Amino acid sequence: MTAMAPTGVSEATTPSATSPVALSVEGMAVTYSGVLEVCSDVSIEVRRGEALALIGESGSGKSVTVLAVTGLLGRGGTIVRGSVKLDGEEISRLSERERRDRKLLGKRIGMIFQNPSRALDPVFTIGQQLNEALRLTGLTGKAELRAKGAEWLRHVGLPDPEEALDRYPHQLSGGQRQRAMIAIALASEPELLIADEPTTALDVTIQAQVLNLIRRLQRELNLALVLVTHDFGVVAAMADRVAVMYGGQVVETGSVGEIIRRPRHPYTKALLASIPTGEAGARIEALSGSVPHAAAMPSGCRFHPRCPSAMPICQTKEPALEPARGGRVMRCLRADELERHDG
Amino acid sequence: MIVFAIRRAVLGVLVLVAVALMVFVAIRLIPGDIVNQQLSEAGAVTPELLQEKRAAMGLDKPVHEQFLVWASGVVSGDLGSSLWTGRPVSAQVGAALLPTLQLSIIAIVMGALLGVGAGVLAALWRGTAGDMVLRMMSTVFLAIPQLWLGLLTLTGLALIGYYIPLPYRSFSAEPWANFQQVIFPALALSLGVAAALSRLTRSAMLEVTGADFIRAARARGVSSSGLYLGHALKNALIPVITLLGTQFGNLLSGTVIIERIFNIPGLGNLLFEAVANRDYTVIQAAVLTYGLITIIVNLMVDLSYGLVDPRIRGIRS
Repeated sequence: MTAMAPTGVSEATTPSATSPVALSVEGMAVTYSGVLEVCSDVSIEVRRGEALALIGESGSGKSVTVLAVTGLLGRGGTIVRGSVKLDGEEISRLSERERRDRKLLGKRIGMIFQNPSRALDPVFTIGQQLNEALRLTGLTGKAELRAKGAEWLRHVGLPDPEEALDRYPHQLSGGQRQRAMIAIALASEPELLIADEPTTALDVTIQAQVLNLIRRLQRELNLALVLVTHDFGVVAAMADRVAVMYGGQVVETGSVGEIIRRPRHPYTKALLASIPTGEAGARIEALSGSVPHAAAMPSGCRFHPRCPSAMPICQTKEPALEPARGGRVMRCLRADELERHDG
Repeated sequence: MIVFAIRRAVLGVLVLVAVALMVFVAIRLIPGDIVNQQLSEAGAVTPELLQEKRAAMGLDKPVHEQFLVWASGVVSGDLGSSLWTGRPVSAQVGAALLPTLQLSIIAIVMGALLGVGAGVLAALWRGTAGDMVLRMMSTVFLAIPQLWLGLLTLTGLALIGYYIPLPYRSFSAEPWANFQQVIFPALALSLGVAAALSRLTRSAMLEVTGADFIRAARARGVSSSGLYLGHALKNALIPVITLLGTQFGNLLSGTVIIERIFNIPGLGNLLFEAVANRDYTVIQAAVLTYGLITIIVNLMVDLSYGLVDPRIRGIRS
């Protein structure tokens, strides 16, 4: 197993600011059954070789955002506004067949799911599921598939890769399953990798290993990575840039260093304040209330009922996602005021 | 796996003993025994004559003694001989077994193919007119008794001017005639099975297609046919196989009346006549054979889970 030093915040700069944009989402809105708007205004951008973390509470629309990008919204889910571009190609209105024809599924966008125990088919071997991805690269021969499959499993650090090919998911441990899942997602050699809370279902001791693995492979393969998480610890270790989501909207984006050291949006601040510090007896600032339901969004700024800095105008006027001072993009009517306040 | 099979075989033998006991006692409780039946056309029946006849057949002894005599014969491979004709029962059962097996196997295969096929289609077409039609058809065929479906088939065929050739021919003797004789009763038997299976297949498919691993397979570019016929169906088959086992039991009991309707000289026909004639030894042997078939089929169903679900394979090995 390849041991790697955990990547600290200090290292997480944006080395790829000049690389081409891989994924660009602008003003995307998603509804289910045409009525329930679960995502209203999502704008994110990821460059080649860059890792973007999408963070927010449960119900803030992060998972829906990545499912919309991959075209896996499921029954009734549609992108109704905005655009999704992969390498400049508009893909938001494509049907599943068109997505398959353009090799968007698997070949161009790979996806790692939250719970590897449920995302691997229990009645097929790891090898059989890996082959489905390998065939997308044009590989056909039985021996070739096996060799390449074993190579991928070795790459993700599975012990006995040859043997693991013939194993069923239930015969592997949780961490090994997620490694296999990663191998399957990468085997079709995608340019964009999406990881939807890839470590939430794993033991704490395994989480760091799996995160390091994803980070290492992302760098080696120069992938654009979108990582969905609700854990700022994961963000700090993994991402170059962060997009904070609330109530189906992106409310603040910036580099990891900036956001973590100097959060500006009241919601980002509240999220960071709610992380346990590890100091004995230290108080955790809990953000009261919960994310509003898609069917009952507050008027004006969606965060105003829970916002400690809310003003009367926040109840009526909707803020837009705009560049604020200091290279920050945020959605807050008081952005400039609050920045001055912070100094 | 072997330990599992042995344990099931032992259980099967115990079930057979229970079946034998029950049928042995039950047929003796039916009013009007074989002696009454045989002498019903004789002129002067005296109590002495009845007594004499019963003694000759060993029917005057207590029931448990009669059972022991018969059971020891069965264990040593002797099913006894017909109380009417005196012919050995094993030969009669042996001759009747093949038509029944042929009929029920064809029927269960047809039922499984039709049912699983219809279920998969209904799941794919969920909410459309096609789904509605398939679901309505399955409700209808679930409600129609096999007996009536058999009569309906026969009448329907006669109405369009088609008559099933008679008498019965075995497949080895005349394949084409045999095919015509077997396909319609098999169809009548299979529709009920297909109806039950299609409903379960549909709901199992819908449940599986909502699973995370289907979404994950779609994400790695698996084609629609690979998703539905590969991943979804293989997972959905697990409950379907269970139902297939119990449906085979229903189907087997249906053969009794269907064989009667379509004049197939199978086990069902043999049993039907034996009951009418109170031919105890034949009834016992036929029922025991039905029990044996059911047990073997259920064992096969249990063993087949492992083929579909590797998790079960792991537990049993």
